[in-house]
Amino acid sequence: MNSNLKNKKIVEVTNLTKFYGKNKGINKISFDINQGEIYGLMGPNGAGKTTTIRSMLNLISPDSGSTKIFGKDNLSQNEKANISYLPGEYEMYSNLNGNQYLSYISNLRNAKQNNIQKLAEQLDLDLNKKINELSKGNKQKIGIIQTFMNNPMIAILDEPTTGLDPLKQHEFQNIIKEHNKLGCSILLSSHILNEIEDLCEKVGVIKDGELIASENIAELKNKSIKKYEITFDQKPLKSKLTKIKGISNLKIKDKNCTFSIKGNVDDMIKTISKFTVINIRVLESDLEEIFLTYY
Amino acid sequence: MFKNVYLKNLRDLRTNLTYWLIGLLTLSFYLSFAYNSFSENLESFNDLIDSFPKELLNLLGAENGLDMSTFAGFLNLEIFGVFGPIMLIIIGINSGTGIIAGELNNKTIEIIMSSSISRNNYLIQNILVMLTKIFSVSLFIFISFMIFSYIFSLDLEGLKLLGTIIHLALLSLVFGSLSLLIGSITGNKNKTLSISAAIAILSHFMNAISPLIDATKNMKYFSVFHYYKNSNPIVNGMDFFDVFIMSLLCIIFITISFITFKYKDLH
Repeated sequence: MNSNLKNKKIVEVTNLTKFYGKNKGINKISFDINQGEIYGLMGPNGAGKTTTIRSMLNLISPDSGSTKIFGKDNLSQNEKANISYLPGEYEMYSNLNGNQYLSYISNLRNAKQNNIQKLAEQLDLDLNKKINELSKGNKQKIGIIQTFMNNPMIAILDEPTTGLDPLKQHEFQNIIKEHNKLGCSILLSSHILNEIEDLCEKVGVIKDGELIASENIAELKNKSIKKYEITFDQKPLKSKLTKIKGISNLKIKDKNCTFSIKGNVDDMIKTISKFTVINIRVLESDLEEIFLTYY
Repeated sequence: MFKNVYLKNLRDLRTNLTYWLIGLLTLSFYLSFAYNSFSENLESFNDLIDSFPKELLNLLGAENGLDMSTFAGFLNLEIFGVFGPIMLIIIGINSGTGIIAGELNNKTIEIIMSSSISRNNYLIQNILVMLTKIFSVSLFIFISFMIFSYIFSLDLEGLKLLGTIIHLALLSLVFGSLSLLIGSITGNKNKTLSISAAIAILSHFMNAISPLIDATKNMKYFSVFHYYKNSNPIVNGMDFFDVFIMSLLCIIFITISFITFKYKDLH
């Protein structure tokens, strides 16, 4: 993907707010998705991910705020054909078979061509079976096919791997990567942290309807709690180490000690420099640990 | 058949409409045959009916009296009084409810509305499906009675029967568009069905009972059943004013549905 294109904003969400009566929905959600980017929307169930997506797609009217897609507030019906959506609660017309249903949706998008068969083979799905005869996982596969069958420019996926076994989850991730390479920008909402970590470049964390972080995963990891393992030439004094700013989980075993630091490490460096350090190891925190720092 | 919403939903109606056609042909054959069999004893039927109190006749849907000496009068009692309106109102309410509330209930509308189809276009195509269903069933009734009245040599004026069928179809469409409107407001299938059915029942009794009480006799004008049947179209032919009022109601309900659906949160 051309790096200039990568900087082109394809989705701009600004101060999106929606309340359900007195209940909080989402409050001033803002983030951008660049062309060819996979953006992860992370948060537990009920945090506001689905409300954000529905507001973006005008399925529900936000109380305030806006979503610009391709730089426009309102898309023409033809432009909407370049966006595909996989809802979290995905239901289909059970009296149709997979082929009929997918052709119908493809026609509603005014798509001239589709790659239904190729995707069905990739996901090992029989499209001649009636939808009401399919298992939950197979229904989800139809959802994934409908999302990518018309080579969309933007795909919005709300909890897409629900019901899929690990092998098919992997296959699904390959499909996402494949379409992303072709230039498809993707918004992936999920509470499965590994999925976000494997696929996304940027991630937004939603908590109680508010976006509390929206950053590159690498930056997010930098800002998060980091774990250290340090070997000294002799057993360090616990009383000195406990004074380090932001320290937690301090464990000392002979000359080795492990601890976590939240925030900058300046005070930690100054403190340990008073000892003779034999070895220092920074243990990479995974997304789950980052996630937990926000909750 | 999967080119657009109209064709897809029309395809879904195939089986349903086939059953209606078979059912209505059987019913019209049976009624025509039955009337032909006992037509010699009709005078005694009329004597019996004359002895009924007006309140009972109103509740039977025979506000205009009953004349069993003609096939048209017989159909007025057997079909167009209560059974036909109930049947067509059920079709109307089901069709109208399915368009918004039904799709929301089935959670199938999100994908459709996130595609290239606009909300107005979606409604137009679904209203056309509702019209197709109501007018197909109405047409089946007309054609089947015309066929069997001819076969059994029964006296039935085609134009007047057609007028009655138009009244019946419009009655169904009024409740269909009312259900569409209620569905666009509530977004809930069960609520929409219940409220629509309650309004239909209330409307029927308002027309049947209110004229019997001096204080409420003008209430009948607020009942759509008044415009469906009080001009007695099977005897007098289609009443243009009644057709206008029912059409106007449909237009009002459908127009408001477009507005409410435009701002409806789909979840």
